[in-house]
This record gives sequence, C-alpha cells and structure tokens, in this order.
Amino acid sequence: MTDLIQPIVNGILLGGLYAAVAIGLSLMFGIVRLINLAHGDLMITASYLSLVMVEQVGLSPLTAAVMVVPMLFPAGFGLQKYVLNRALRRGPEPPIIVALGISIVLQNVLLLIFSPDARSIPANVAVLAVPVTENLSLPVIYLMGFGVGCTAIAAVHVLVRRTRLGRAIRAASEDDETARLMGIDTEYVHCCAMGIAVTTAAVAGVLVGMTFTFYPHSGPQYLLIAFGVIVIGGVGSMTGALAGGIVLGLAQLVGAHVFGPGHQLLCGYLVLLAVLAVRPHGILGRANS
Amino acid sequence: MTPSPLLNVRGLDVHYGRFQALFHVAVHVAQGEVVALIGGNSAGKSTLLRAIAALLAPSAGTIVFSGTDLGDLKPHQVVALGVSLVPEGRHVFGSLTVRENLLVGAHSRRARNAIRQSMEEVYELFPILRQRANIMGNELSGGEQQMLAIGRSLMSGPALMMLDEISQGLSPLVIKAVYRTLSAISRTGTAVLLVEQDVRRSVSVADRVYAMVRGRAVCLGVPGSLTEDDLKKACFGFELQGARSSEGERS
Repeated sequence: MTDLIQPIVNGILLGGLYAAVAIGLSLMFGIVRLINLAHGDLMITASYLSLVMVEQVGLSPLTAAVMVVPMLFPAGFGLQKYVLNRALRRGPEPPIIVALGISIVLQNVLLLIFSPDARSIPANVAVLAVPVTENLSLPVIYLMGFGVGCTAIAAVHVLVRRTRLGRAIRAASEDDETARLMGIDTEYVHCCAMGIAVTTAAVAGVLVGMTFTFYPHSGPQYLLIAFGVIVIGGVGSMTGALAGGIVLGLAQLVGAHVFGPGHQLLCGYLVLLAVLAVRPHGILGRANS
Repeated sequence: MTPSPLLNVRGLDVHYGRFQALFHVAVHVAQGEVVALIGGNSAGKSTLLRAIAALLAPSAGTIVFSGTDLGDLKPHQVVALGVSLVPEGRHVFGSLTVRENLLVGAHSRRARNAIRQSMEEVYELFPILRQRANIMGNELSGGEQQMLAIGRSLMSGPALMMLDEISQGLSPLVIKAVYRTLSAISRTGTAVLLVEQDVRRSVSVADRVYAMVRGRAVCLGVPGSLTEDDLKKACFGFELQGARSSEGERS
C-alpha cells in the first residue's frame, strides 16, 4: 500500500499540468463554443519555440517561457481574427474543419523544421526532487506544473467571472446576437478569448516541454488529454478542469503502477468512460452545459 | 422650421434572400418622441427594428441617426451611437446574474460613474431588480425578465430606445407596470420606437403612430385622430383609406 503513495502524489501533481493543457480548450469549447482541434499543436509549437530560445539563443527555460508565452497571445488573436472568425460566419462546423487543417499544417511545418526526433527543453529542475519520506519524494517539475496549472486556472477564472471582457465572453457565448445588441463586438471578444486560450496553451507547452519529450506530432496526443480533462471535469468549468486533470493524472499513474506502464493511457480513458456513464456532464459541470 | 429628426429612415428595402420584407419604408422619430409601430404578423415591424439596429443589411435606402448614416456600421457601433433595441422574447443572459446582465448592457460605456448612475436609475425604475441583483437571469419570472431586458437596454444610455413586443407573454398587471416605465423613460428625453401587437396600449402612450402593412410603412398620424376602425385595419393588414404613406408624408 505504501508504494502507492508516490504514484498518487505524482498523479495529483500531474493533474495540475493536465489542467493547464486543458484550460484553453475548455475556455474555447465550453464558453466560446468553438472546438479548436489545433489546440495541442499550438501547445507543441510553444514547446519548440521555447526549445529554440534555450538552445539557439541561450536563454534559461524560465526566461524562454517569459518570452514565448506573450508571443502566443497575438498569434491566437490573429488566428481567430483572420481565419476562424471568417469560417465562423458560415456556421459552427467550418471552424472545426479549418482548425483541423491548421493542426495538420503546424505538424508538418514543425516536422520540416525540427525533424521527427524526440526533443525536450533542457532544464535542471526536471531531475530535481524534494524528498519527503524514505518512500516519497516530490519531483520539482511536477510541483511546478501543478503550481502553474493552478495559477493559470485561477487567473482565467477571475478573468471570466470578474472582468468586463469575461462578462462579454460569457454573454457572447450564450447569445451572440443579443450580445451584439448590447454593444459587444463579439468577433473581437472571440479573438481575445482565443488569444487567452493560446496563451494558456503556451504555458502548458513550455511545462510539457520541460517535463516530457515531444515530437512534431505530439499535439493530437495532448488534444486528447485536454478533451479527457474537460469531459471528466465538466465542459466550461475552470475548477472542473483542475478536478478533471487530477482524476486523469491519478488514473494514469496509479493504473500504470498497478497494471504496468503499458496500461497508463488505457486506465485514464477507462476512468473517462466511467465518468461519462455516471455523470455525463462531468464532475463539476452543469447538466445544461 | 421643423427640427431634423433623431432617426430618419428613407426608402428602406430589406430582403431575406430573394424574399423582400420591406418596401421603401420611411419612418422618422424626433428626440423625446414616442412612436408606435403597429401591424399584423409578418408585416415587417421587427425587420425594420433589426435593420435600424444593423442586424440586417438593407438592400436600398438610408438610415440616419443623429446625422450619422448607419448604413455601414455594425450593431455594436450603432449601440455606441445611442440606439438600443429590446428584442422580442427578452433574451436575458440566463447564465449571468441580474447585475451582470445590467453591466453587459453598459458594455459600450467606459465611465464607471456614469455606469453606476445608470444602474441606480434602473434600480429606481424597477426596484425588484435591486432585490434580485445576484439572481441568475434564467431564475427570474417573465415579468422580471422583461424589466431586466428594458433596464439592460437603458444601461447603454440610449437616445433612441426600440422595443419589440414587450407585452408578449406578460400578465396585465406587469404590462401596466412596464408601460408606466416607458412613459417615465420618454420623460427623460429618450425617444421610443415601440413595436406592439397590443395596439390600444401602444397607441395610448404614443405621440405618433405608424402602421406596417405587408412590408410598407404608413403614417397614421397622432393617436387622437385615429378611429377604432383605422386601428383594426392596421392590425389585420388591410389598406388604410385616407392614411398617408410615410413617403408621401415627408415629400
């Protein structure tokens, strides 16, 4: 039993990172009602940008993160303004196809530039751990992931619930036409929401790049994780994203410990199916969302 | 010399695809005036309001508000100029609280003091909204939602307020209260363009009345000059003998 403590702690900490991966998708999917299939690829693009900053420019991973994360806001804003908003005018389905196209393009551009080799952002913290007991230590990179994930969720939660822009995002997602009648430029609001979503993806991308190896085709893998997190936690719920991340992280790491590493993903998705069967709107989601 | 109207719609055509909904509509509203727009179902009343609010693009004609042509503007820009629309069916934001709904109504304004003052004015007009400030929009009764929809619209500080079927689905007591509020709003100098199927009630508060008949606007004149027969004909979409077309009235 005591040997389960380490995977449980690691699973909870990994949940914070998973929440950071999912929060942008949750914002767009649950609030703006747009399924951004390129979310994972944008995240991995941030991982590669950080890698370039660290390896080519010689910055520390933290400085690289500070440089890369704000760069992704205008990228997301522009993507929504010049590509997705145009598709959105034709109905809710075209943006999904367009996002899939962006995903494929990004993967192939990354493949051309960086080759298919596995990469990771070299960071000293990746090998550090804080010993707690003889059988338990806390990996610093997981602690960082958890802390940053919780901070990102709190920031997005405050933004959506407490600010003028957040109110406009929620109003536009509920009733676009009435929101326009209230003086809200809904297309601009969608651009801001996408900018924020891609910024959170960039934060997750830097953390993932420091924690795991990544490839040009890693994006869809993280997109699946993000979907799992928001389905378990509840669509559109920021605190639900954290709960979903922790449940998925726990299921994967405890499952891997009990049944073997080959069963890690399977255990995660079995829990996802179980949550869907028992509580289809997620742990903290509302039935009508 | 007649002052130039606050809103001046001239020769307006609107199409839904190949179907023409409005034909050369001409309507004007002066500052502080209450204008009722009556007519049967599918006469084009709501279409006219949606075109003024820039939700529909006209295929011909001009809409000038306070000297500005609204032709190429987007709905949020029209709101910023001082035109607000209370849509048919209320459309309050159910997942936002009453207070948040009101703040969304003030989205086009930046000055916090002005927003706070407008909110106080709305709470004075509809005291029940103050009591329900932290309740979700979808938890309000129909009457409360209508009050919220009107209050939310007032939050943008409009010079012209357009209201579409505000009595729909409400009890007579609530309708009476809502109409009392309309009179109070017009006394502040805000012009009101009112679309209603409850003809008698809308005419009772109006300074002038237009009838929409099969996509054409006809100016019936001032309420005192209208007979019961005129109103019935307007409601059922019959041609109105002796009524001047709004184009004719302006020419």
